[in-house]
Order: sequence, then structure tokens, then C-alpha cells
Amino acid sequence: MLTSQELRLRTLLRVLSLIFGLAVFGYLLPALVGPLQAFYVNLPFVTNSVVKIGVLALLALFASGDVRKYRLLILMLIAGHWISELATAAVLIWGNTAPVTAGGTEFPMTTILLGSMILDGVILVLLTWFARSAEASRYTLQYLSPRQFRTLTALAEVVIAGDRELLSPEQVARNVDNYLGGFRARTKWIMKLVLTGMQFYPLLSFRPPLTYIRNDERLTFIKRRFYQEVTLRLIPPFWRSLAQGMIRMGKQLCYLGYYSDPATFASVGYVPFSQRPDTAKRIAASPIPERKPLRVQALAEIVTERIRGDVVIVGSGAAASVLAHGLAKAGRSVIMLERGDFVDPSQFTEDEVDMISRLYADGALQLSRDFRFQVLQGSCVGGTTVVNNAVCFDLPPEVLDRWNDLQSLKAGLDPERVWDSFKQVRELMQVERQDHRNLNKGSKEFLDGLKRCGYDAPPDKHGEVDANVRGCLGCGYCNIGCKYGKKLSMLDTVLPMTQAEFGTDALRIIAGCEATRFLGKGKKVTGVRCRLKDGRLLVVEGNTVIVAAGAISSSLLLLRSGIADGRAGQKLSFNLGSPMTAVFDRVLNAYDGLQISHYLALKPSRGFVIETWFNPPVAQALTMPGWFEDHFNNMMRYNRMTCTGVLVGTESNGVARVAGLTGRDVEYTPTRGDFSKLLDGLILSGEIFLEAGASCVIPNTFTYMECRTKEELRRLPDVVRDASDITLGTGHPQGGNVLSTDPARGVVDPDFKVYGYDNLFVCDASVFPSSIGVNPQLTVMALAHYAAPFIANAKG
Amino acid sequence: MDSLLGYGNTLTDYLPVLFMYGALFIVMGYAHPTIELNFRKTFWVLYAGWAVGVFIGNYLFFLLGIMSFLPWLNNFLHTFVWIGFCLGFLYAGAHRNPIPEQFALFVIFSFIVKWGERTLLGTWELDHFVLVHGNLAYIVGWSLCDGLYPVLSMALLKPLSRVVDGLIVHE
Repeated sequence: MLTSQELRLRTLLRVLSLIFGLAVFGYLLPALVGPLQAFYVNLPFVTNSVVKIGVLALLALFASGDVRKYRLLILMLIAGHWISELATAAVLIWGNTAPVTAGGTEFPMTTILLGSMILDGVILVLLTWFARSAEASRYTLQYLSPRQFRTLTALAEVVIAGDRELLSPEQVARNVDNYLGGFRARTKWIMKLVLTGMQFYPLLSFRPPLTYIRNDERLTFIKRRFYQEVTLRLIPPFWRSLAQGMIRMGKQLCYLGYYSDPATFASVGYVPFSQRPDTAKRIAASPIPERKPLRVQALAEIVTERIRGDVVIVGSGAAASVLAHGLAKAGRSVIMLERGDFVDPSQFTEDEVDMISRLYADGALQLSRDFRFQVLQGSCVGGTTVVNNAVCFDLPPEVLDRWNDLQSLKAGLDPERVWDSFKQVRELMQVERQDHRNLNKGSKEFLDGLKRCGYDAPPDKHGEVDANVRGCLGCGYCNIGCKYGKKLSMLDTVLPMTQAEFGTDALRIIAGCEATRFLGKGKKVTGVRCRLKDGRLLVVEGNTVIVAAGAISSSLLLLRSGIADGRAGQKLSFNLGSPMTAVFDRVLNAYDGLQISHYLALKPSRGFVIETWFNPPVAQALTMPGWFEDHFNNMMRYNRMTCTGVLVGTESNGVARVAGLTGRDVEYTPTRGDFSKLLDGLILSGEIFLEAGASCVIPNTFTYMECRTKEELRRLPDVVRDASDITLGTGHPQGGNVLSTDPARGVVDPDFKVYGYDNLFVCDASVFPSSIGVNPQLTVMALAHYAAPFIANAKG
Repeated sequence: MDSLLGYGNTLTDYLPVLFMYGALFIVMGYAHPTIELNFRKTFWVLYAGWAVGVFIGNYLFFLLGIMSFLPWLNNFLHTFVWIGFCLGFLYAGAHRNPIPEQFALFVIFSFIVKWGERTLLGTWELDHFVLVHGNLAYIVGWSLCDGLYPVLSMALLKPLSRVVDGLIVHE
């Protein structure tokens, strides 16, 4: 059934075919009969015009037969009119426009050509307008254009490749469009760019756009241009990184569209928590606690353009919340500004994509400059604590020693007070060993492998992780927000507790409020300029201003404000991570349990920590190794898989800058040393699983490798030559505004005060002088606890 | 009109001068592309002090015979755009560096600008600096004086910071 817009287009095409048909006779008849015969017969353009108009008439006629099927003919009509316009303009500018005489009458050629251009122009505008609105009405898209939608459909047709596909490519593309429509990522336009780039990429090798290539040839084209040429490094580095970025995003969109659809869950062996047979039993054994209410100011309540408070904190995550609690306890009142939304835990769902879009910075699309490195950060009230795995490691003592080393980093922290803060924060956050029954179901295999490899005894450390999780139900949704109040994120604990203890006036939270820059007067920061989600501007003034927005956002905020230029954003480090997937012959259902439950830390350290890890299907599909059939077949083994993540604390060679199209440029390439440690850790991970009886282990390499023996696994360094050959990511950016007693090196002093300012402080992972090599949230909280008295006593 | 633009100059002749200021400003910005938030107040205080002071000073020095006459537009641009804005910007980025380094920076930039204005507008044409003869001596001499910008700025800011809050004085 055609839409009304399509019917309108069909009518236009029929009218045009009639007009063009009549025009054919308009050219031919005077050449055959009448007083102008002699003139017309001598004009070569008559033949050309008859051919041109005749072809256009036929195109319009055929296209009107089925405006959906013969879309290409409509494009041809449009293209023909464009060419006609350009050609006529060229004649007008450079050609002979002397008047012509016919039948004793002089005709001004310029007027004729201009008239022709206007006529063609009108047809062109009408055709383009009608064709676009017809397409838009046919697809009823929320975010993508019809062309991008078709590109995605064509891509899904070849990327989701298996013999048991449950969704049509169009359904996959429609799912993606629905999700992108609801995504609140500022950089989601990159998806459009990628799809447009992929559509026209074949033109570079003299082929038609992607959607016009036959299915089998399209698959061959993608394999050759995006896979083989990249893997074998047959194209220049810049081009290679572009092609790699495009295909990575393109295929991730397809996976997102396919595996987020509940219709596919059964095919991969996944059961959502709400439908698992023992869910009611688990909830009965560990009832859902009653939540303390959290008051977050609605934007509608903000009616002025300027508000004033005592302490202004930018951010609401681990550090910001602990600081707010400490400051409120010291009698200061706090206004907390959060860029993301306030999502009440009662609104958390099992829909991964929806939750990722609502809870993560840029909808988890925060990428490094070369699109090869994904930086995950929470962006909602509660910050990353709402979406992390709540894993708590103390700061390794040797790291604190290195930070305080007078010859290098010179942090100047008081070790006694630091350790006391760790103790206090552990109590505040109810951190405990996760030794319950609802752990990652793949951890048994991991522990078995450790034992067989001989890593289960001191000095190596292994076992269940500590986490601020109490009475875990094992839903496996740590990364999309714990609906059941078991993960004690800031949203569940410190923020409501602070308001309950000290009153809602002591802690005002404004969500959907992005701090854009600081306002200052001499050495004092007088306030924060913000943009509210509804587009209004707001200035929040305070006596003391604290930045606790996470390593990257804090650095960028300082840089945008012209603070610590040349030092802020530098010395960025990460916990570089990459997964190792293991396949077993038996069903594990590794998704059904605490996502990160066990770890291994070797003594002496080889520079990495290994943690068990698994995800619900969308997140797992996005990191699942393999291409085309390999990826599809792997997803069919989803419930027989388990994973570990290898974390390497990197050197501080990253840089965050206010640059690029998004204004958030993260430049990072792992050093040779860090990269070797990562490969070493991945090989060890694989060996542990092979020892545990895995039928194969699969690193997340660009060139697919499925290793069945240790010998095959040890070929990993030959396949992975640099960061572009493997999927890398981090949820733990650190540094950027490092803490040091040396003002030439650090951005903040040991009191967390920014050098050169009387009342500006930074306290979050950005002050880490180096990467700590383990999950950093407990250290972030402990440093906030440590800093709170300094800040409370500082004179604003 | 000659007293406003300089002998034989038109407004068009000033465009390359502005272009030169702009190009040098870009070079200055390579090390420090922005003015630190806490230095902005100091920057505007220095801007006002130097621009107004030198604008008047140039004319007084002409009356005293130690400087050639700077046409009014040249004087305005040289003081309000170059010295006030550009050299202020340079100082904002360089004030933490050692004094000899700052001195060298200011002398070099000033020399380029004076030589440029001499070439483009025909100004800075006096043939001696104090007792040293030659136009080159005149341009070099005043460039060396401009090298004192950081030291003089510090001397100006030090007492001022006792009465005006928030000024940055690098010791």
C-alpha cells in the first residue's frame, strides 16, 4: 500500500512522462512540417533533444509503475535534470549565445536558455521534494535518512550472516533507527557519517554505491576492502584507520539492531532475568531493599538565570558524592551539577541499548581520535558508579610509594591518612567480599584453570572480588544499572544518605546541567557557566568550586576555561582492557550471575590483572570476536562461553584536548611495553581456560583467530602487531590533572587545590599521578574522603 | 591626513600591518594558546596601563625629540593592538619563564614589528637612538626598551596588587 506522499510522487511522474512525451512531438513536428521546417532540420540539437526528452519520458513512465521498486529510475531522472542544468549554465557562461533567426523572427538565445534552466529547475525541485517525502513517509524513520537506512539494511544483509537468521535486514536497520532516535549521545551524528561513507566507498574503486551492489558481490567487496586490505595493510595508514573505523561502527550497529531484539534471545540461549526460572526464589532469598528517596531538582524549578550556593561540585559520581557527604558533614552546603539525567532505579530496565543510551557518556560512543579505543564513562546522577561493576581494590601500596616518590611524581600525600580514608570508605560503601552463590557462572572454569596452571596459591592472589554489592541477585545487569538496589552505587547510598542526614538544602542536585566553563575574577573562580538540557543558560556561583566530573570531562572543563593550559589533559593513563573469550562444550550461562566475580593478580606482577567478565547479549555481541559467519556462529554459542578481561595499567602517554569535530579529542596509542603486557595477559588468560577444558579460546583480534591449543594461542603476537589489530577499551581513564607538589608538573597541589587559584579544586581519577592498574573506584572515593577536610576548611 | 596615516599612506597600507600583528599573534599562541583564567584580570590591567601609557608616551617622546612622530593611526594600532593586546598576550604565556628569556622574546618580537612598520608605513624613521647614530640603532634601541616590558610590568603590578585584589605577580 503506497503512502499519500508516494501516490503524489506517482502522479507527478505520470504528468512528467506526458509532458516529456508531448515535448518529443514539439521538437519533431516543426522539423517535419510547417514554416520552421528548414530551420529545425538544420539544427543538430533537435535530434539530441528528442533523444533526451524521449528517454526522460520513458524513465518517468516506468518509474510511475512502481515508485518503490524503480527508485533508481527516479534518481536517474533527478540526475538527468542536474546534468541538464549544469550543461545549460555552462553554455550560458562560455558558449555562443548569439540570437538565432527562424522564419524571419529573431530569438534571443540567452532568454531561451534561461527559460529552459528555470523549467528544468522547477522539475528538479518538485521531483527531489516529492521523492524525499515519499521515502520518508515509506520508512517513517526517527533518526537516519532513507539512504542511510538502506545502507544499514544492505550492510545487515551481509554482516549478520547465518543460516538461522530470525530478523530481516530491514528489521535490524529499523531497530537501530529506533534506538538512535532515542540516543542522547552528542556524537551520534558520526553514525550517519559512517553510513554515508560506507555507501559511497565503492565509488573509489569504480563500483556503484554499496546498496546497488548485488548481495554476494557486496559481501566480497566488504571482505576485500574492509577486511583483507586492512588486515594485510595494503592501504596507507590513514586510509586503513578510516576503513577500519567505518566497518567497526557499521557492523556494531548491525549487531546492536539484531541482538537487542527479544526475538533473538532464545536463539543465543539468553533468558532475561525477569524470565529466569529461579528469579522469584532469588528475590525471596534476598529481598529488594526499600530505597531512600533522592531529591533531584527538576529543570522547571530553575526559573532564574543565576543561582548561588556555598560549594559547587561539577559531577555526581564516586568522588563528587563522597565529597558532598564530607562537606555537608562539615557544615557546608553543596550544589551538585550533573550533565546526565537523573534516572530513578525504578526506571531501570533489561533493555541494554536503552539503558546504555540513558546512562553512559555519549551513549557509550566516546572514542579515541582514531576510533580504535572506546572510553566508557557513566553520565547520570551517580556517575560511573551506576554502571560499573562496583569492584573495589585498594590502591596497591607500591603505587602510593611511586606517587609519593620525591624523585619523580612527588604527590605529597600523607600515607597514614590515605589508608585511613580507604578504611572509612570501605565502611561507608559497605564493601564486602563477593562470596555468595550468584557469581559469574563461568568463574568455576576460571578457578579450575587457575588450579591446573598453578596460580591458585600465594604469592599469587586470586579469588572473589571485593565490591560494594550486598545480597547480589546475579541478574548480570551491573553495567546497565542495578534495578534491585543490590549494587550500592552513589544513587542508592551516599547521595540519598547525605540528603537524609543533612537535609535537601545541604545537597541540591541539578541534573541535565552541563558545566561549560568557569567564570573567574583574578585568582578566584566565581562560578560555573552551564547549559541546561532544555537549552537555557545558567550561571551557578559559589564560594568554593570543585571539579569531579571524571578524568576526561574534568580535564576538558579546565581546558575550555583556560585553566592549567599546557598541563590539564596531559599525562592521561588508562587501565587498558581487552577480552579473551572461551568456548566450552557444556552450557555455562555465564550471563546469569555477577558480571565480574573473580580475579587473578600475579606476584611479582607481570603488569596486568585478569578478571572474569560476561555481559548480556548486546554488549557481548559488540565485543564478540569474528566477522560475518564467524560472529554469527559465535553468538550461537553465547551460552557456552565465558570471558575474562585483561587489565593493564598504562603509562601516562594519553592526552585529552578540546579539539576535533566533537570538542573531545582523546589521543592515545598504547606504548610497546603496555601492549606487550596486554598480549602476555591475554595469552595467560587463554591458557587458563584451555587448561580448564575450553574447546577453544578467542581473542578479540581484527583477524579472526580461534585457538584450540596453547601453541596456536602463542601466535597471538604475530597476528597482533599493534593496537589496530585488536579491540581495546577502558572504563578507567585516569590522570589528566595530576596531583603533585611540583607546580610545573601538577595541576593540583596535595590539598587538591588547582595551582594559581584560591577556591578551585579537582578531585576525581584525573588527579591520579599514574595509572593504578586495578579498578580505581575505591581509590577515587578514598581520595575524595581524604580531600574533603582540606576543601571544607579552605577559605573561599 | 598625513598626521593621521603617515606621509603618502592610505588606509590600505595599514592592512599588511594588521596582517603582520595577526601572524605574530599566531606564533605567540603556539606555546600558550589561551590566557589562563586567573591571569585575565591582570591582562586587562596591563592592557590598559601599557596601551594608554605608551600611546601618550610616544607623543611626549616625540615632543622631547627622542622619537620620530608616529602618525596617530600607527600610534593607536601600535599601542592598543600590538603592545596592549599582543605583547600582553605574550606576557600572559611567558611570565613564568626566566627574565632573560622573556627579555629576548620581547626584543625579538618588537624588532620585527618596528622593522615591519618602518618598511610598510615609513615610520620609525629617526636616524639615531640617544647618542648612537643610524636608523637601525633607533629601531634596535627601542626594541631593547620593549624588552623591559616584563620587568616594568612586574614593577607596576607589585604595588598595584596590594590595592587591587586578584592580580598575579610572578616573583
